[in-house]
Amino acid sequence: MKLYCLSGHPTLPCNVLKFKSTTIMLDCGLDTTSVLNFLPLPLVHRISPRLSKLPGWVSKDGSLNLEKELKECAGRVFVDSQPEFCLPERELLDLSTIDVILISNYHCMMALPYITEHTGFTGTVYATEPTLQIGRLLMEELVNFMERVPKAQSATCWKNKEIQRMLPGPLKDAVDVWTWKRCYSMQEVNSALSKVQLVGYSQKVELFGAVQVSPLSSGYSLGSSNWVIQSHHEKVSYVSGSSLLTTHPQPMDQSSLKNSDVLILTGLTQMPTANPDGMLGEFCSNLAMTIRAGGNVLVPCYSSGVIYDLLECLYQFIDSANLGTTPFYFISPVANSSLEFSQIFAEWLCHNKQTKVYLPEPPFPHAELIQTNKLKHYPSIHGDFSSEFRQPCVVFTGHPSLRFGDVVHFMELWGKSSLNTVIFTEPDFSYLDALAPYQPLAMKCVYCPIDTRLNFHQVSKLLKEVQPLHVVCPEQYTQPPLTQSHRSDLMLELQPPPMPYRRCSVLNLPFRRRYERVYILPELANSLVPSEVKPGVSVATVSAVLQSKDNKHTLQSVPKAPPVAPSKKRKRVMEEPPVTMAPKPLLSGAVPLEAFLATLQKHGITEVKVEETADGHILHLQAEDTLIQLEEDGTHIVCDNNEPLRATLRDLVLRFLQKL
Amino acid sequence: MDSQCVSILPRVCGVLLVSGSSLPDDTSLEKLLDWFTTIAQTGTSLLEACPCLVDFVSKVAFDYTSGSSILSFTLKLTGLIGASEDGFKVLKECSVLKLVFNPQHWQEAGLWEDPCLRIGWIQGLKMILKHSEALSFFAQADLIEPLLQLQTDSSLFVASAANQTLAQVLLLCQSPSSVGHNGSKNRDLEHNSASMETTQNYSGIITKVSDYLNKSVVLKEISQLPGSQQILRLLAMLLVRVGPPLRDTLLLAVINSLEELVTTSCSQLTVPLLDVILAANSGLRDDCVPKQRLIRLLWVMLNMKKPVDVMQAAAAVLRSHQSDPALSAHSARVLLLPLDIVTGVSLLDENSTEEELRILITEQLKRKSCISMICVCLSNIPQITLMASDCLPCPQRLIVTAILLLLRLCCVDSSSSSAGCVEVVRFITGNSKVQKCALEALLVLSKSPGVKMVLVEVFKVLTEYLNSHSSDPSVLQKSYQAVIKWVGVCPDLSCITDQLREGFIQAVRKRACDTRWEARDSTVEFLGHLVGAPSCWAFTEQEMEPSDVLLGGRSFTVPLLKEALQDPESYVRASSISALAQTLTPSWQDGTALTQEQEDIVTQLQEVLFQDSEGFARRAAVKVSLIWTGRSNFTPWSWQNWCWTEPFRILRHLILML
Repeated sequence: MKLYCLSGHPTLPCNVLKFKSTTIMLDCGLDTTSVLNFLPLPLVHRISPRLSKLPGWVSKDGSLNLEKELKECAGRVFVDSQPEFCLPERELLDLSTIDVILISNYHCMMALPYITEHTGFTGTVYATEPTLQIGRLLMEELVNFMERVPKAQSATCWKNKEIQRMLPGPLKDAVDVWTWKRCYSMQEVNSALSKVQLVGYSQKVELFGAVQVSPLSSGYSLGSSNWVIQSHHEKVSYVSGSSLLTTHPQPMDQSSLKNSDVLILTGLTQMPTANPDGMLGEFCSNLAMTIRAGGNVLVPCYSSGVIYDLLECLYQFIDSANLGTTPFYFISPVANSSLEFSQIFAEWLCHNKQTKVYLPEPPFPHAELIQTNKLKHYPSIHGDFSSEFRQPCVVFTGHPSLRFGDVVHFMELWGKSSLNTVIFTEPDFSYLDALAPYQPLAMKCVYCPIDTRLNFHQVSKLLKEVQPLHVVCPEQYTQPPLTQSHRSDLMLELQPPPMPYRRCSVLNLPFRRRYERVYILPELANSLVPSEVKPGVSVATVSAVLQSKDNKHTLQSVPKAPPVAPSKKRKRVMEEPPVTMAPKPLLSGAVPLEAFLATLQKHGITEVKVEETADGHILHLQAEDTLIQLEEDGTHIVCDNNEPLRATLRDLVLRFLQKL
Repeated sequence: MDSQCVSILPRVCGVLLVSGSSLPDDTSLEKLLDWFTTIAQTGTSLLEACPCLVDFVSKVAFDYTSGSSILSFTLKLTGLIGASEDGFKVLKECSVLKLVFNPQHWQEAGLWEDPCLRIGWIQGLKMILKHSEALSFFAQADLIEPLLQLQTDSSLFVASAANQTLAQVLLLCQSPSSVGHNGSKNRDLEHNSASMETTQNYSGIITKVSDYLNKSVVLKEISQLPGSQQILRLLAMLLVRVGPPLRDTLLLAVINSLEELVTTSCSQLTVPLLDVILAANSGLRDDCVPKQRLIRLLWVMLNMKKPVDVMQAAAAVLRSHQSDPALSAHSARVLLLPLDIVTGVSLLDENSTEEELRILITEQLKRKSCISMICVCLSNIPQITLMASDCLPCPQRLIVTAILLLLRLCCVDSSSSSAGCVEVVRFITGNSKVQKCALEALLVLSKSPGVKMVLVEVFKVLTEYLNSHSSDPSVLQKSYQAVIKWVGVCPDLSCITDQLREGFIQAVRKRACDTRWEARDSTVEFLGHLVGAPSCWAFTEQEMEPSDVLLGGRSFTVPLLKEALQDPESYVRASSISALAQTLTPSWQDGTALTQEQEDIVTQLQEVLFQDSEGFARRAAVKVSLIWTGRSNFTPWSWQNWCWTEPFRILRHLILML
């Protein structure tokens, strides 16, 4: 069993598991942090002439001039081109051999079109319905953000190894820049998603008769799953993006992960020291503080996920903080669909929200915020929004990297005033890096990353509970974070230690398949003659034909040779049926030393020297110059040139054994 | 009312006599007993006021069919009657006394098993033991035996009352010169002439008590642990309450057993044992032999094998303020050890005798139980600061440094690390119990000499806590208190730079908008308290109010407080009213016309008085109005106008009635 690790990002995994002749890809996360090296894509150039006027980059000695491709802003250099993403590794194995892709949540499927299209992939993708639908929205949004402000220029010179080496950091340190790719198209998205087959929690899907895969609720987001991959005798659990907190999704199913041979653990919280409740509190107080002072609040966020919880929290907070008259705007090409989808996936929600549906009430209170006009949503800043826009206000919009989407517009619009605040709630991007191309910035910046995924304390409790034999995890989890090297509690401490992986690792998973289930046909079973070797245990010899088909193994009766028709012709040797020898009887039991010695004596063998060994005894028949080794699982008679004696001794030994 | 009650008392007694065990609720009996006690306390003879009681007591004493609550009530009533010498005489004459307080009488009736009866017996006995006649009766009836048996009664209430009664007996037994260890005198022992003789007569009782204590103190098997704890508690109480000769007798009787007990190293007995040793130690001269033996015992306890026990012993020694300087210095060292180990700040010099303890404590700190050990260390910092500087193992400034580092290690957002024990960090990070204890210690240390130079560090750490998303509201409150305390003792705030001030203002502003009302309340309270802090020197080298230096003055505070007047939580509204009053009162000079802002605030307070649905806010507004109207030179004119309005007159009238 092997694991190919195509991504080193701990929360955006992409691994391939080869297990019992199947090749299973576990998630295909897209590492979008590469976009931080690019200049933001402004929606309205009129508002942000600053970006278009940034000076080009020329090396200090003037030897390298890349001013068309690279721009300088506040001491950092950015690529002036359509942003590109860092894809999962595609050279480690042939992606066309992948049989299935299992998706655990909508954040971990963003690289799907890169994997399923143009690689020869012919398999199936399995995901839950909310994962598919919300994943589609996120992809659609991404494509929309990119396509509505197309950039003709595509910068490639800077990627030249020799040139890149001379660039300032962090561009200089970016890895595998040649593999970075521009965003896919909507057509590719549709084609990729057409390969998705929907599954429900605990539904068992047979893969070629070899293994069974089943999604379990992971409690992290709508429809998010962990996966159990098992055969009759082996079980591999794949844990990705799970949460034990009570938020909107169905709670995590922990018990089904028990007794795994291997547990692949990914998607732990990226903010192990930031308690989500505390962060939510910080978010609210910073928001209220800004609004009271007459400023605007910008929340760069994804259009699905934590935003539902943020809106729910604000629903309770608005009145108590006297924010009743402040407008809240949610701007995204998929804002409307996202808000509506969240209300219709009732079966995937936590119990409290499910019960609301039967009242009937919308499960999420943002429906009421919309009804009372406190929350308004728009596909973009163009159109209706511009006529409705009122300040001070709170705006939720993407993309959290601040490189594309409507958020770029608000950063340019509000960045100059210290009254305004940008509150980062998504943990995927370093907020300092995200803000780099907007410097100098007067607006206040608050970092309240809300990551509800398992923290190290919760995961160690979970692992104690489910007790897997081996744990495989990204190498980042096996050491404390660089900035907090004294925090030994911010890492996985397990016995045996977890197996770490990094991008491009190929791990031999540490267990051997020892058993295989074999079916026996009834007529064959009926022909067996069991004999009891000890109370409750019977054995029988089986002569059969083993048929293996579609990873199923069956024992069938040996076909009888057809009766030979009398013929006068001389039979051809080739036509003769093979002579089926009766199998030799199997022996069982043990040779008791004392009784055996007594028997030898009766047969005139008296000079026996007994030596005790680790496995049994060696009997030295001195007069006969013969050795008899009596061991637990075998008996050897070493007797040279005296065949009658050997046969006698063999018969004496056989007296003590049972024949089957 | 009393006469009416007295007139119906015979009928009440009649009802009680026939009620048997059918009385559903004995609280009425308690009330009745309270009433009798009130009568007795006024100096009136209870029997004269209620003559029917003797008859009632006699009848119940001979009647086994009464319920246990009636019997218990009767026993207590007998004690109350017998507490006066006249009453005692009457009871003695009609032979009730002997019968009622004879345990055998109740044992034969099979009623002694009921703890309700035993508590009645013991409390009755305690009440009666107020005079020498009663003591004679106690001695003659040989009641010391059953009383000693009850010391470790299965009912904790009975055992505790028996402890108290035994102490009372011994107080009565001791000579008048020794009475009043705490200056108090027993009423009966005014008969000075008879007392010495009396003491000799009761030496048998003292011997029995001494023998009993000596035998009971030693723990023979673990099942006796609760009994042993009870005896130690009794002993500690006796050693505190009785005077020198008797105390010496008791001490000499038990000291061997105490020495034996110390060697058993039973953790559950550490605290009660320490209480006994320290109670015994407190009144002894330094040169007397028992004192030397007790000091030795304390040393033994400070060198026990279990670090938790050693810490408790050290804390007890420091709390008792006992006079041995070496013992105090060692205790301080022991208590500072965890702080030294966790932070890596060298609070203690190299000392080979502590090396073993250091290893043991380090091991302990790697477990979750480290929290309680660190808290014991921190909560005893106040005692350590009281010690003479030559007894301290390090300057107090160094302790402040260590506590600041500990606070940083505890802060979730901090990336600080220490040269100390790394394993402990996982347990203390974000632990609000440790944070609170450390902040409490920091509060106390503000008065320490030479610590003003670390004010900036203190201010940074406190701002970090106020800013931290993970700070519990109680931690925020403590942080605010620490700011007030440090600002109050540091008149020179010139070291607070603009950057620090800005960070602090942001933190306070954020907490004023916190989702937790407790955090908002603490913030509002803090704003009010800061106004009361003494003037200081700002970095501009001008004398300024601390609220001006830290927060930029009223232009920052007043809008926040006005906002808080609209808070949905009434506690916060009430706190904001008080804080506003504290903030505004000093600026309202006599006769000066009010600004529009001040006018608005007065109007808002009036609105609170009339419209706020919650009592807390209205009460706070009333309090402010009383302060302002009481100090007429501070009364804003619009308020004066309002003071003559009808609602205010009614309100004022109501307040005066209260």
